[in-house]
Formats: sequence, structure tokens, C-alpha cells
Amino acid sequence: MALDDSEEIGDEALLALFAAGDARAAALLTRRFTPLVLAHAYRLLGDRAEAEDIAQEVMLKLWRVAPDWRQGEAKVTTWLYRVTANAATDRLRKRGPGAPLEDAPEPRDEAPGAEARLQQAARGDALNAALAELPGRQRQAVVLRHIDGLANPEIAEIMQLSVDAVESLTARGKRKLADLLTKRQEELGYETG
Amino acid sequence: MKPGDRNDMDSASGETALERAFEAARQDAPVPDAHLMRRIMADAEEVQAGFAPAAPVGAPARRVRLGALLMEAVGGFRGLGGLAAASAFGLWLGLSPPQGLSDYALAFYGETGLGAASALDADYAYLASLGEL
Repeated sequence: MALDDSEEIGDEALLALFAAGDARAAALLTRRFTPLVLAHAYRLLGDRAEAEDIAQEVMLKLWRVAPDWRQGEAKVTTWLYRVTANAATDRLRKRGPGAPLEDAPEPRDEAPGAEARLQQAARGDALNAALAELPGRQRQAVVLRHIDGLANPEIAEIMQLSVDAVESLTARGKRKLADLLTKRQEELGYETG
Repeated sequence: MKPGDRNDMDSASGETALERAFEAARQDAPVPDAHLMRRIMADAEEVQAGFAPAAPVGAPARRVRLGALLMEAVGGFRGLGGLAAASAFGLWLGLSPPQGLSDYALAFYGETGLGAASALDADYAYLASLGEL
């Protein structure tokens, strides 16, 4: 199997190559999974530096588990989402109650001539701030469903819940998010819609 | 700021506004920088260096105790009995003097045990005649 065709190689096969000592597999796995882990950690924590620490921590766990990985039992991405969420939950627990909405980043307005980009960034910031207000499990379910775009059965596997429970969590999370965004929009007086 | 847009979350377009926010979050995903990638690769190399080399294919070596090995070499308990008997006979043969064997045997075993000893006496006499003793 040629590592040049990296897109063709399955996640588990790459992990097996890594466990066998293949340095190119390490590079490919790093490129393939670090963006996913970093983005998920960032959406759960809302803090770039902490998300980077989590990404390194989770990838280190992946390296260590590689020789014992049981092929065909779980998708590597499912495992990564779960371990990332657990690590983020630990961070949030240490951090204490979530940052209040007022402490969320202000809309960025220092880049003239890029109104559309600014508005998109403002929407992203507002959403991150609102996500921080959700209970942890609701936040995780909403992020996995509506931002990472996963299907409910896979979310259920990641969160080790029933599909019904996932649907309930995402529905409640979405309602609360809409309320929070409306409130923030009124407080700050900028467009989120 | 458009006052008419302020309450769009409360309106029928609220769902759309939320979808736009989700889309913005998807577009705004953080991208790992080179420094983070290097940190992660360094961890990978360190962990990989600690992996044990692959075990040789085949059944693992059997642990054998020295006593069991010796017992197997002599043929088990049955062989051990034969070995003991042969050893005892060799010891007796070595201790028995070639001359006066009959007297020696008689002194220890009496008349009844003398048959075999007398036969040995004849053997020794024959060997002596050949100059072997």
C-alpha cells in the first residue's frame, strides 16, 4: 500500500502503520486529525489556547493507544470526538462556571472594507458566546449535529446515549441558542441574522 | 444596525438566523498552525520510538525446569528405577575384589546367595587366564 495515496488509506490502516513504526503515517494522521480535534475543542471551550492544548493532549492519547487499537470496533473519528469532549469537560470543570455572555469577544470592526467577513465573524463570535451558556451535554450535541454535521446515530455513539436522547438534547439546545442570540443581538445592537 | 432586523430571532426567520450562525461557525473553524503541528509530531516520534519491536512469529518459548529435563532424559520414573538398579550393581561390582569374591559373598549373604557370586568367580578366572586382569 503506497502512502503517496494517503487519501485512499483508511484511518485504522494508517493507525496500524503508525504502530508498526512508520513515520510517514504519523505525519498523515497529524494532518488528517489535528484540524478536527482542534476545531471541536475550540467549539466546546471557546478558547484557542486551551483548544490547542487539548488537541495536543488528545493526539498524544491517539499515539499511545495505536498499538492496542482494535480494528473494526469503532471509528477513529468517533473515538477522537469522545476523547476531545471528555478533555474539554475536564477543563470546563476546572475553570468553574462558564464565562458570562458579556465577557464574550466583541464584534470585530477594525478591518474596513470587509463588511461581509466582519458580519460572519460577528455571527461566529455570538454563537460561540451563546454556546458557552449551554449545559455541557447540550453544547456538545448541538456542536456535533449542527456545526460538525454528524448524523444522530454517530452522535449517540460518541456521547454514549440513545438516538432519542440526542434528538432531545439538540432540540433543547437549539431553542436555547436562539433565545440567547436574540438577547445578545438586542444587548449589543448588531446584526446576527 | 437596522432596527427592523433586531428581532429576527423572534420572527419566523429565527431558524434561518441560527442556521447562518452555524454556517459562520463552520467557516470560522480554527486552523492548526505550524507550531502546534510540530508539537504533535514531536509527541508522535517520541511515542513511536518507545514501541517494542515486533515479536518473532511462532509459539513462545516453553519454560523448562532442570529437574524435569533430567527426568525426561532418563526416561521418567520407570527409567529412574532401572538407572538406580544399574548404579547399585555397578557400585557392588566396583567394591567387590576380584580375588576371594566367594569368601566375601559368603560372609555377607551366606550359602543361598553364593550361586551368582560363584558364577562371577568363574568369569574372573577366565578373564585372568586371558591376561585381562
